[in-house]
Amino acid sequence: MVDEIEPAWTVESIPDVDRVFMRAHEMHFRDGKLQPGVFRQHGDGMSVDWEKYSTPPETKGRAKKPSENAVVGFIVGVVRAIPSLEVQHKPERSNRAHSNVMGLPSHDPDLVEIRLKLLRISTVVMELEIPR
Amino acid sequence: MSVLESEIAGQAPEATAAATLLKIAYDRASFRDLDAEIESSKERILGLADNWDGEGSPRYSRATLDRATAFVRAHASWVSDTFGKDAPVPHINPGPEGSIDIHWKQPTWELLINVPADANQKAAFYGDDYGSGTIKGSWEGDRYNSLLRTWLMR
Repeated sequence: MVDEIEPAWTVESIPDVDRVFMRAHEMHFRDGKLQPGVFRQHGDGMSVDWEKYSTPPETKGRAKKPSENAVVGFIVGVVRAIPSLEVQHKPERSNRAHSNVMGLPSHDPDLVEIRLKLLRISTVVMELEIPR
Repeated sequence: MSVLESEIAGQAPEATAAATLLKIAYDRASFRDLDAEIESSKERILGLADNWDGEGSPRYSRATLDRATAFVRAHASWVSDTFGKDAPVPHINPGPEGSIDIHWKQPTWELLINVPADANQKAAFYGDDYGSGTIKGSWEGDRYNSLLRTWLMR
């Protein structure tokens, strides 16, 4: 298996001007607009892919059911401008682009605020195949 | 005065009871959009199975959705009874980890309420006017919240 023979990828620093991509399931769209429920912690943080090593179609292709997903993008520096948030490269053997948005609070008003702010700075870079 | 209210005003006394029933039916119609959103949320959200997004998200419980819709209904009734107007209808959506989001996006303000899956946890909210005016906090989701009421009447 490729994953077993490749060395681990070096962790790099992600510049503020770069973008990261995230899948958005079709259930998080209403009338063609992204909804705030899409933003959630998954393991160490909110999983995203760094554009240096991933395109939106590649990010979409890593979903269990790609056809049910859109892809949204963020400018890293704009994410970092939200208090407490940081974007860190965390490559996986099978996905060199993998990164995390760190610093999401646990359930409380701070998390609700951050989700609404993430919604405002996100851009849909790859639409759903079947609009909802 | 609406057409229906004008018609009611012109009724003979013996028709008052029937007219009142009509008026109640008319008032009830003002909740049609809200009822449609609640019914839609049941169909969209309660049909989701565990891992519905392929990312490990859990299913949603009827009890969580009921807590969310009870708040929205109670608020809409309060606005109608107090001000005689319709409250804006929110989107009721799947939130993270089995929670339910109630989301209003208006031209001059936006508000997000999150009702957690755990009934012992407080509901949390954040809203702003796209500027310096903000509202933020948490409360027992099954009780009235006067701060939220006031915000929703902006």
